[in-house]
Amino acid sequence: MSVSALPDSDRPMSSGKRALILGTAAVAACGAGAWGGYWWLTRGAVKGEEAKLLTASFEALDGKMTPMSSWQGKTLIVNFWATWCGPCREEMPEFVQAQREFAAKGLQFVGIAIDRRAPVERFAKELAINYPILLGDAAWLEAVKTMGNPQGVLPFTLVISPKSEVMLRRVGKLKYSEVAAIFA
Amino acid sequence: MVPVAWSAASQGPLPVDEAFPVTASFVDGKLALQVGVTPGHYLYRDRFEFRVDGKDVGPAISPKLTKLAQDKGKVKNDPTFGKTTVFEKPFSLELIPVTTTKTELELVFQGCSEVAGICYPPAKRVFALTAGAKNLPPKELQPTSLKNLFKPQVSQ
Repeated sequence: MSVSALPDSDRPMSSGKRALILGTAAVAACGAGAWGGYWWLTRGAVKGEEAKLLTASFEALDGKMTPMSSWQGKTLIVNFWATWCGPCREEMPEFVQAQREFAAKGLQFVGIAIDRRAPVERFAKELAINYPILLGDAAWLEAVKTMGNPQGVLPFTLVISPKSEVMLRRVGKLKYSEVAAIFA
Repeated sequence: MVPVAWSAASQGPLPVDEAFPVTASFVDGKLALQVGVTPGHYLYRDRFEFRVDGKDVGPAISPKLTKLAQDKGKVKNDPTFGKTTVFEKPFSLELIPVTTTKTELELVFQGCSEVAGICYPPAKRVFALTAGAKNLPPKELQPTSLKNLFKPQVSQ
């Protein structure tokens, strides 16, 4: 797990509240790591690299090119995933739940599938995914290496503030409870 | 003492070539692979691909891989994929006989880290082998497109 700090002036929440959340997440990371190793501090992040992502456009499942700027002003959770990745599939039902419960508070999940269209369409339908799923080229597996995911593995998730700054980077699964904590 | 899982977790996932170190040998016309699997990691049996001098030799190797999986593989009850055969321990696999003195082996494999809760994308590795080569490491090939990177069975 990794947490990247934002300038206080642009925070969507108070710095104290954020520190509490991030501190809790760090403790949870240590605990989870001791139990099963699901979380860790990501390394190799380069400040500003996410700008490439936020100015990019991706093909959506309806075939239309969709700019990431479509969701500017939202608390954006960008999840890189694939149908060939078991841990990715396991965490997604919790994303569906979080999207349903926190959409009114400004949460927007976006899934970027590093995968072929057909299996992605099947899985999205099977899971009744309620947030946009975009199709990403394999080149994004290289691009994420400079965003806090140095091995280019999946799942990989970024939480981005309404001011387009990274609040959290996660290599491995993100839990519903962590998303809920942002909006508590 | 730091638990292994925590140590691995705190450092993040291993590079794929450390998680799954692979070498190839070409001795007496026999082509063979030595596949390493770091503890806490696994490779999917059904996600191997083999090409020798550009030719898909997967069908010829499939029975050997099946036999190997019966002997050394493990049936993993994956929460999302159901019962899937994986390799959790290192293994060697004899491929096909080759009559030339030089050959090129291309290998695709895909695996995950149980301890880190992540999966590596399919990795493609190429070995340029001359007769007598033992435990030769590959040279890496970067994926160029999803169409080429993922065969249908990988992501169905």
